[in-house]
Formats: sequence, structure tokens, C-alpha cells
Amino acid sequence: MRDEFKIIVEFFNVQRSVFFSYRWDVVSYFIGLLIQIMVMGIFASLVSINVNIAKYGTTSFLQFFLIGFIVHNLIFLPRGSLSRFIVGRSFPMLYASPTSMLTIFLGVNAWNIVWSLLILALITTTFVLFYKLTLHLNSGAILVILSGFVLIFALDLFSAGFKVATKARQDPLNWFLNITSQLVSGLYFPPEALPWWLQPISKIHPERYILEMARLTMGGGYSLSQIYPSLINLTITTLAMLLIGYITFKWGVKKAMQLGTLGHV
Amino acid sequence: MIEAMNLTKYYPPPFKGFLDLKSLKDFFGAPREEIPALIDLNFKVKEGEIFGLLGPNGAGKTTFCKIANGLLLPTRGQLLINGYDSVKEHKKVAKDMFTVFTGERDMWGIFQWRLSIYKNLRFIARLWKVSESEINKRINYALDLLNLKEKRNEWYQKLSAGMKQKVYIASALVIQPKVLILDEPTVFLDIITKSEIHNAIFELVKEFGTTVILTTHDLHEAEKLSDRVLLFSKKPILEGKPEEISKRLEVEFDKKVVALVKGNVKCDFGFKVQCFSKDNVTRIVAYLRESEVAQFLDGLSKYKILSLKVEELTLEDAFLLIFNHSKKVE
Repeated sequence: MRDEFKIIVEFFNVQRSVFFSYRWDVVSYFIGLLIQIMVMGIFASLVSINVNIAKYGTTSFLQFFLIGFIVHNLIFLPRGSLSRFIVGRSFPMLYASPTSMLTIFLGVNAWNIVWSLLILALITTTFVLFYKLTLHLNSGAILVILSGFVLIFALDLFSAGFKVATKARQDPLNWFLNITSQLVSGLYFPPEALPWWLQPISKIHPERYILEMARLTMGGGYSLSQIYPSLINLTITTLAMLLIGYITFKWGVKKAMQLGTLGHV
Repeated sequence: MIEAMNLTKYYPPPFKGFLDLKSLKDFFGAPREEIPALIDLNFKVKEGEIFGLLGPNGAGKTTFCKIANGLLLPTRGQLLINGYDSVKEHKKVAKDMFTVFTGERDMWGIFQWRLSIYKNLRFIARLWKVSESEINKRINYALDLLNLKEKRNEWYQKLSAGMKQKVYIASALVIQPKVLILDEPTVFLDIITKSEIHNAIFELVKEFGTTVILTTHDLHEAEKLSDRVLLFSKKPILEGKPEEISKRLEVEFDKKVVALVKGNVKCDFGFKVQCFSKDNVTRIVAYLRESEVAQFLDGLSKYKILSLKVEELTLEDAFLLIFNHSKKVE
């Protein structure tokens, strides 16, 4: 166990060194981040929308928008964590090593997750300090975010199975998720502001419900017991997707091992 | 130590069109046995032995390496490494095995370009669970042996192709595996670098008793390094010590005669002879039995001979003769 942890730390150190070796990229990244935070804050402060924001537990569009942004980025952290890694160039050598695949998977994603969390913490702190964003953090909010996180991982498992078996360069599932989460899940605007023909897609999009519950708990301070029924539905959906994702992934890896495409670049 | 038992791999046929229902059926069902990559490969390798798997391009060398690393399921048969099935018990095999994939594959991207050689080697040592107290000692030893000490802190991307390949071998020296698989370890390298890599391989065998499987199409390398060689092209052809292979050829030639003669010669000597004419000079290569040499030389004597060499058959000649190059010799 200790050895496995040391390996994850080694992965982290390697990725950190590589990341900071691109010095100008890091500088550009922070400049971009600063602009993004400013634009988002100004945009969210200026927009007024003719929808009942209060029913989401949020007092203003700024709160609605920023909570959506934070939660969306948190739950989408696992996107591509497996589906990109399994078709990546380094996969065969990592697979050939005696280190367990779980350790390798955690190691490969360690830097990305930690760095993204740090940046998200920085953004959130800036929102709280400069845009007067109020956030409630209770067990309900944590469970909603965790469920969303696992759901996106389950979808990535499914996607990884599909990609490794078919060697498809395109990733239709992640593509669909990405586009629809921006447009119809209620990330930037309440779903009822959408045209009628987009409403059905919005209603089947899991992120819509994750964001709704997250806004109620983090914005409105709703407790776990108040969002309990919706959370149960989300948990069931997550578990079902986890099972489907796992089966697809196992099938994909087996197929790739038959076809000789596992690790084939 | 290593045993291949009827190791066979057939790949399913590729998709022929966008709506190729037959191939689609293959994809979702059990693939048809259509494209052979390996057929009934059988061999045993003892501990501390260097075993050459020698074959032309497309012979199945990389397929073998993928099976050894658990990346590919054989259609039938199995490969046992230290008594474990290389695919089904892959992680048990992996702790004592290391594969150097070189050439275009560039060790499959495990080396970070913007990281020093030291840090790259340290990372690989960690993956192969080398203890912390040993890591630095082994890295220094490997870099020293391969004359890379001065490059220790240099970024991997700044190294030449030859140096990169030396770093791959250095990683084997750091891990010190019981089984080392080398997939064309010196392809595209100059003689000096090749020699350094060969010495490192010998060092691994001598110092740590490593068993080496060398897959290559470089005959000189196989001849120089291997204790035994298996010639194969999808299926096994000949197995034995490198010096024995030529003697065990089905065609049983003993000698190779290489002559340069003046004029454009008509190749009608009645033996297995190859003639190349250019600028009024002909290069003649003949594969002969010992008893035929005198008769051939007699036939050659009617031409003006510029140079003449009578040699023992080498592994390279065996290779050429076996893999259909003999067709041109007619």
C-alpha cells in the first residue's frame, strides 16, 4: 500500500515537473485564467434573466451562474481520465509494469486532478472575495457532487470501452456530453429559458438534476433530507451507469486484446 | 524459464467497407481465423540464456512481444514465463520482466521528453518497484556502463536517437529483470553505440543471470549475442546455435562463393547462382555444396576474374536462402 502511494507520488512529481517545464505556457495559462474570472464575473453581474431564479435556491443570476460553473468543473474532472489514458501512447509500457492498473490510473490522473482542484479553489475563493458569492457546504452538497463525479466517471468507463475496442478517434459520448452540458443542462441559464424543442433533451440530461440539487444545497442551504428523493434517483442512475460502464469497459479491453489493438497507437 | 507452447495468433480480417456486415459480425462475435501472425511457435529458453527470435519484417516478432507483455490474447497455445501464463497472470510475470521496445515505437511514450534522464529512469525504477535505497545506485551504475554519466541531468528530448536507445537499455540495467525482452534493440544505430548496447546486454546476463529474448532481423547481432536462435516467419523454421543454423539448412549448402568477373556474364553455371552486371563487371554469388566448389570454379575460370572469395555460409546467407530470396538465386 505504501509502495503504491509512493508510485502515485512519483507520477505526480513527474507530471508536475513536465507541466512547469513549459514556463511560458504556465504564464499564459494564468493570464487566461485571470481574464476568464473577470469576464465571468462581469457577465454574470450584468445579465438579468426573466426566470424565477429563486426556485433554484439562488438569490441572483450571479450565484446561479457561478455555482453552476464550479459544480460543472468539479463533476467533470473524471472526463477522459480513462478514455484518454487507455488509448494513449504510454499505456502499453505502463500496462507491462508490475504496478497495479488502479495505482497507474490514479497516478496518471493525480496531477491533473490536484491541479484542477487547486485552480477551482482559487476561482471559488476569488468569486467569494470579489463577487460576494455565498456558498453553503453541507453533506447534501458533498453527496451531490460526489454522485455527479462518479456518474461522469461511469460514462467515461463506457466511453473508454468503446474507444479501446473500436480504436475510434472520435468519442461520441464525451462529445455529446460536453456539448449538451453547456447548452441544455442549465449550466449557464435555467433550463426553462430553452426553446421548447430543446426541453426534452434537457430533461434526460443528468447534469440538469445534479446542478439543480447543487444549487439548492450550495446556494439555498437546503439540507440532505430536503433533496433526498432526487438524490436517490441520481444515485440509482449513477450505479446503473457504473455497471453498464464497467461491462462495456471489460468487453472493450477483451476485444482489444483479441484484435491486438490494446495500446496500438 | 520461458516456454512457448503452440503459440498461435490469428488476427480477424480488417473491415473492407463501411457497411461490411461480415466483418462487423467478426468484430462482435469470435473473430474468424483469417490473418496469421504466429503459428505454433514452440521453444524453451533456459535461465541466463540469450535466445534470438529471428525473422523478417512481418514475421510476428512484435506480436510475440505483445503476447509476452499481456497485451494480446493468443488464439491458441500459451507463453509461460517463470511458470506463469504471460497473459492470464500478467502482473506476476511483469515483476521479473522488462521489455525494451525500440525503433519507431520509442518505448511507447513512457519517457517524458522534458524530463532529465535521471528522473525518467527513477520513474521507471519506481514502476518496477525497485527499492528507494537501490534506485540511485543502480542508475549510476547503468549510466556509467553506457557512458551516459555526463547526460544524467539532460532532458530526454535533447538526446540523439542512439543515446535514447542507450537509455532504454539503461532502464533494463536499473530494473535488473530476470527476463529481458529486446525488440530490435539496436535498429538504426552506429557500430560504436551497438557495441556499447551489446556489452550492456552481456553484463546483464553475466552479473544478474538475466534470460534474454532478442527479437531482431539483424543477423550479425543475433549471431553475436545469441546462444541459440529460432528462425521463424509466422511459423518456426529452424532452431539451433547460430553457427549450426547454416549447416542445418534444408538445402544443405556449405559454401558461398563471391566473385567479380569482367564482362556481362550469362548466369548458366548450373548451380544456385546469382549474377548482377553493371559497367561491364558482373558480381556472382553462388551457394554450393563442398563437392561442387571445384566444378563451379572450373566453369568460372573461362572469365577474367577480378576478385574471388570462398566463404562458409553465415546466418545471413541462411536467412536469405530460407526467406525466399533464394528464388532470385536461380
